[in-house]
Amino acid sequence: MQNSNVIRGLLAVLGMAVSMAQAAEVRTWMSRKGGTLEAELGSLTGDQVTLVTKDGKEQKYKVEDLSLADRQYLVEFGGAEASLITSGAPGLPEKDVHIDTATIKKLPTKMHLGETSDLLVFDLVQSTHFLVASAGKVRGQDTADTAERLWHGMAFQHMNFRKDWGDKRMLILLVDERKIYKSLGEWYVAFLIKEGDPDGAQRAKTVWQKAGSNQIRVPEDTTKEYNLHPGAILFNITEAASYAKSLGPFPTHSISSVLLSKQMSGVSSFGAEGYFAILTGHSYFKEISLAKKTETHLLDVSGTGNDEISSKAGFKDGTSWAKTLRPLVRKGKVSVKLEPMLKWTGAELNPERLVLIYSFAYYMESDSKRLCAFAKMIRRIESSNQIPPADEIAKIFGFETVAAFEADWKKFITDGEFK
Amino acid sequence: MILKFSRALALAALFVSTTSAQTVPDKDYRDFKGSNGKVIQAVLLDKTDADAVLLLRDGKRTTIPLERLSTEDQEYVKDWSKDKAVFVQKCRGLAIRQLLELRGYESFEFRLQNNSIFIDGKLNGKPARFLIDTGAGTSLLHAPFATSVGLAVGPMDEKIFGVSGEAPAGWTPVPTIQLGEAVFKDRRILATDLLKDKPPGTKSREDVILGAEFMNKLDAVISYQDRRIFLRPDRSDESDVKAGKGDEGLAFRLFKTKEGKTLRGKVVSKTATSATIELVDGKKSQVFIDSFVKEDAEYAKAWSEAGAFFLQYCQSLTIHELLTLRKYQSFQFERRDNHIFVEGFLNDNKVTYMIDTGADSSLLHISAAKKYGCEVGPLNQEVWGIGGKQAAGVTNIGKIKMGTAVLTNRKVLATDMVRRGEPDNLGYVGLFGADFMRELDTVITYTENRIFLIQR
Repeated sequence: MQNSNVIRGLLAVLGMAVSMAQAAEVRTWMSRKGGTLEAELGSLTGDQVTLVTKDGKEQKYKVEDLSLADRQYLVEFGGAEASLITSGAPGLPEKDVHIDTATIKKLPTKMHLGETSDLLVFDLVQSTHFLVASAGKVRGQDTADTAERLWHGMAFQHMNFRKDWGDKRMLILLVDERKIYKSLGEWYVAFLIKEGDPDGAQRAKTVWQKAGSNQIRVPEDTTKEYNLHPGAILFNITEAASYAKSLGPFPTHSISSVLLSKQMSGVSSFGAEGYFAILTGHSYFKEISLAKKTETHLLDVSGTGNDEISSKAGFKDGTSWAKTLRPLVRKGKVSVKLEPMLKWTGAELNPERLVLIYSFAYYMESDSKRLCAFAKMIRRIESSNQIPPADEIAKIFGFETVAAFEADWKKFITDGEFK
Repeated sequence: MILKFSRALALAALFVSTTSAQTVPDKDYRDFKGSNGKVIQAVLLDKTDADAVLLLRDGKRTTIPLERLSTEDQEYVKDWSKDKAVFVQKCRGLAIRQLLELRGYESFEFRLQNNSIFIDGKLNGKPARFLIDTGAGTSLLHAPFATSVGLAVGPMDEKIFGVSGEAPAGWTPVPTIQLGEAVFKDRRILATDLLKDKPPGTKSREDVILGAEFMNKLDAVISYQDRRIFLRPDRSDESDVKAGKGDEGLAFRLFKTKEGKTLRGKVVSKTATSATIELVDGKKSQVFIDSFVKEDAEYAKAWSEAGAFFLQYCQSLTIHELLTLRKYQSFQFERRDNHIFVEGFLNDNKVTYMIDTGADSSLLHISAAKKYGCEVGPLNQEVWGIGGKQAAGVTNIGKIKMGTAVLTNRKVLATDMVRRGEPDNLGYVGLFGADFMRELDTVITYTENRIFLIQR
């Protein structure tokens, strides 16, 4: 009798021990709908995971309700079976997430850029991870919603994304009035020259009027005042409709591109081969899968003085890309080869090549298992500052050879999944 | 207390040995190799001087004479203790942070800029950004910053050396350097222009490079996965507690209040709103949980007697024991002056690498790269470091190996790392930088002189 009491007492201690012991790390767990919980991993049984919050409360969740990044964490750090991440389709977390409209607020203050201009005054809308500054008639709420959805999509797939992002916001500038946009361009060129970046200034000058969006640098005092990341996205708005709804095609493309490039955190001068294909493919994939069509053309800036531009696009508006590429691949008119594709830059692009790049992203990001390999590749790029060569990419996706990777990708294009 | 503890242990052992096969997680199985080379997967349940009791995959038990196991497995069985095994298994999930914070370490969440580690501290009482650099044998100040915080940079008649050459430096008296609770007084540190050769307008990312001498002194532990660095403030010049030898002397935690006060002690009891802390001098102090800073308030809220009992046991684990349980592999590093080195392979040749958290990207010494079969491209790239810039070539590495971690097809830069006029015998092939260390979730510990890696 006495003994059994002791054992019971001990079991209680051990029970405690287990939940403490698994408590490797407090992290933010996230559901498909965007709900988050700061907790430690308690235990994992079958398809159910127990999370322990900081005040010691246990909460149980179905594994399939957790983000892909959480499931990857369970496999890599919690010793779970790899099948945990391969089951189920990745879906569209950007659409599934619930964005609480109360988190998107208009601020009473205005933001000023440049010291003297009366034109560069912006209305502000703040959301959890973004600050949308607008000038002209456009309003920032829908773009904030779009950006938050795309942010959620990144955090859903990429384990380091939330941690890397930290507590800063990213600035998005919306300008739909010509005079203001022109004045902003003059201010920005002068700012870059002052910062010792004449090449950047020249590039900005060349594309300023033509480009629909630009990644720009935020002056340091502004980043400090609003706790912002140093890189911002600027939209030169000529077609207002895309900004008056959630997940409009062009904003989706541009913001997706900036978020992924931020996650890759730049590549070295000698490790950039493939960067263009990965980023461009991803942005078109997000645009077409979320907005159902594309309205994005790529501008290529070349010439010795960064002063020549040309425009590139795929076939029509994106609704027919898969349909058009499939027979071309079947007939061998477009060959599905990884190594040459990684070498392409904007200058060498034609519609076939652009759509092949799109199919590459579609292939990588449309299946849970491949999506996890894609996330692993992005993590590798983040730490190594280089795009892995073709044979390493094949290896990350579980293939012995580049040819085996290409064969699988080709089959994906020709036999149905690519739509 | 001790008596109760050991009885609990014996019972715990009993509890575990009746565990059925189904409840043993896959990762607990070990590959036992017979002396005949045959491998079986099993969990060690018990042992005598002559036999080992193994639980097999199918749930059956078998008793096997020790001599029928490989030498390595015999060693494993010899070192194994049943009491310890039970708790050690339970301790496995413990975070390095939990382990170290109970031993008087102060932990700093660091930020990564590119791959470099930064923490905030104070130089001469003024806020400063510190770059954590295991590759810097001695610390350095950015001279313009040193001047801006009121320090007198001495004549630039000293020379310092980096991968890209040399730079003039001047001794600078520093009244205080402060990293959290750790305070160093009246040091002399070299100051140099960290932006030598950089275009005008460039801003320095760091104000101070915290070199190996301080990390050594503070028993630093660096973990890329946790994104934290842990330091022992009692090792610094100013400390309220005597430094114990090794880790045994410390069994306290640092608690900080919102008012900036620091308590050293451990929680012995608590209510819903307050915690009683037994301080290192034996006195007890009752503190409102809300008066602690956020992290410490959370710790106090989550504290329980049973949890503390358990953690106290786990606390005696070394980082080596903890990470070995988590399947990390580790290497004892060799110290030469203040630098740290490990052995590894470069294209299947046994070589030595310098471990350098300050290298955003790994870097090879050019003649070593060529000698060990790496393709070195034309010197059309640049590397930056102390001493400014130097030409470098893109280099393809077929294979880098450290233990069982294998990295293939990597591009790094190679440059001439030998000082002008000196013979070409560095004694290592290059810098194992933060790029590879991040990929392999590296942990570096100066107390245990070890580096841990895991390939996920």
